[in-house]
Amino acid sequence: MDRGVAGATDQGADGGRFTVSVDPAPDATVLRLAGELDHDTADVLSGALETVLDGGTPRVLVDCEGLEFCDSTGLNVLLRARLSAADAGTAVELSGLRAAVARLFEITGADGVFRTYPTLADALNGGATAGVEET
Amino acid sequence: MTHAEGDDIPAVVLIVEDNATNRYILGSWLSRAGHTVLEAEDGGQGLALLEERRSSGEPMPELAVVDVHLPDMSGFEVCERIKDDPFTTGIPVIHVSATAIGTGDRTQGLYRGADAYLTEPIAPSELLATVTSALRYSRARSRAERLAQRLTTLNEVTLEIYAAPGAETLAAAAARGASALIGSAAAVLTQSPHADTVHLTHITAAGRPSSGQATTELLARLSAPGLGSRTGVAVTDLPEVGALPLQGAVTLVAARTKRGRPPVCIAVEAAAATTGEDRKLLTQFAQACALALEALRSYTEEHTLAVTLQRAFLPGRLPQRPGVRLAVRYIAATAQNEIGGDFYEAVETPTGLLLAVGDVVGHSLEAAVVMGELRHALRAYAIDGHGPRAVLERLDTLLTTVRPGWTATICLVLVAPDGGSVEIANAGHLPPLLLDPVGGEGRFVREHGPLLGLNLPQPDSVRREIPPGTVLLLVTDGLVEVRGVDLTVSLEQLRAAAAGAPRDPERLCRALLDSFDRPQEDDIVLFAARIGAVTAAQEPPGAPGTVTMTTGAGA
Repeated sequence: MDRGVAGATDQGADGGRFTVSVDPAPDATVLRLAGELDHDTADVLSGALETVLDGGTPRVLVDCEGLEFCDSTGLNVLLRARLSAADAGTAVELSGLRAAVARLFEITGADGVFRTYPTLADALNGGATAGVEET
Repeated sequence: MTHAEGDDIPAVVLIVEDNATNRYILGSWLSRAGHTVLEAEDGGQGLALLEERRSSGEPMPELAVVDVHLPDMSGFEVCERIKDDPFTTGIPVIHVSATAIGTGDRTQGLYRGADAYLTEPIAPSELLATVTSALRYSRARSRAERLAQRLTTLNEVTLEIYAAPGAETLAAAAARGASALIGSAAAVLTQSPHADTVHLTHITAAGRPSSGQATTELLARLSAPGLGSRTGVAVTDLPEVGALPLQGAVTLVAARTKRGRPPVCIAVEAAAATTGEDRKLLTQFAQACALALEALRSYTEEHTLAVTLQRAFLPGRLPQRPGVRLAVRYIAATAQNEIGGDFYEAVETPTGLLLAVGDVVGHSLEAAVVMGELRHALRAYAIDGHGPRAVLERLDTLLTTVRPGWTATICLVLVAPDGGSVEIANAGHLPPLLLDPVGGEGRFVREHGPLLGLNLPQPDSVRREIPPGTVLLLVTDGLVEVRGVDLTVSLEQLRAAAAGAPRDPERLCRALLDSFDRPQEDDIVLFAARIGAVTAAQEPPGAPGTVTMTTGAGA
């Protein structure tokens, strides 16, 4: 399956300090985050997540490999998305968390509510079976 | 067709004609009509004359009459070279031809750029009428181009006004803008949104800015004759105003967008703003300045109101209890930022003194309101005698029920009545730090549950025995969150700095703020408690239980 960036939509704010590219696929929609997710850029992600969830998808994979920084506002966007997705029976899962970003999830205990994978490939391969849950 | 303003004004006209008799006749007709005539004998000379005028700065010809048959080049080529040069491209060219020629030559001339083509015999009235017609057209075109240029300038300087982050930058941009629009010195009077100070910002014709202070009386006196207390824009001509650094009579534009507000005044030298167009541009610009200043004022007022409200949600004073000495610092992020939902609390409960620090995620007035609700609920549950973990779980239920979608991190520390131990329950907040009584070590208590608002169970609280004089330190992430730095690293820096700092809570807070002094993006709460007996030697002077609030990064 082609999971390249072809057909991806880029939404940027602050001159591209943070970008989300959305890659729709039948069994999972992949959102690739890059840059700094914070108070000023969180709206970009919440907008993208809203669009994806409105479109209906069984699984949302948020790939954080390119995410250099995330603050509590950014974390909250993901938490809210998880809540509204749960109502529709959609799972929101994360992959490729860098150490600094993972630390925020760990300190706040938010790591317990997201299924996380070391890489996007792991997430896509392990989607049907049990994923690796990091705690 | 009606005549526009200036169509009948005589022009400087260049005649390029090799035949001396024809040159004389054409020249005399034009001179008699009031035009100033420049003569050239061939194409080379004609083009050289234009070049000479350009470099000397003398008035350029507004029109050229060019013979088609010249000894060195054709009149068509002269015309093309005039039209190809951006500096002379606006000069209309009228070809004259001495010999009877076919329509082919006429059409070629017109196609190659000429504005008219006359063949002999030429009647003087026909030449003069053609000149007038060509001038009417080219003058309309240059007026339009100049206006377009000025509107572009207006657009640019207006954008700068709206981009100004503060009153002083706005005033400077206003002076620059007025000067750019009129091409002369300009002075601007603005009153700061949050003060009675009036800025007088001035810029010389050469673009050198300066600024100083003026009085509200001057602002009122200058705007009184035109604008008075109305809203809108008024242009007034005033004789020389001693208080303004401008030469001679002054054209003053005063604008106000909201009744009761001080106006914005823009003044330029009257000699530089003589046309209706000058006044219209200044009027529009002054209106933009007044709107931008009003927006800045509203923003400042809203922000002040929000900060005041947020502060109202926080405890005004901390309980004083023998054996526990408290100090807190609340430092708001830079004034331009929105307000945050950080909070702290200290409340006497049946089972001991409960200390809390928390952070409602988000930066808005609503976040501050949620913070206020949580803090009051926390007090109610605590006073009812619930333990730290039970308080957290009730707060989680409250948040998910009443404020779905909101999350908060809270760390609770219950100090045993005898001061010999603490019970800690942490819902996703930065870990509390316990510092040994005298210098040396500090340890984070890392056990924690998930943040509140997710409807998740909290783990059991943890209990730590503490020696008398132990210092507990609670912070919010504004202090330690740095882009590009792992939280583990900045927490370790905090631990090291705290371990080496004085143990008195006030002095500890001060020392930490000093060592973490940098532009901060988020609010900071620093809450320190010294628990248990403190010997006289360890006791520094100073009132216990002080609350210090600061705005800005400086502590």
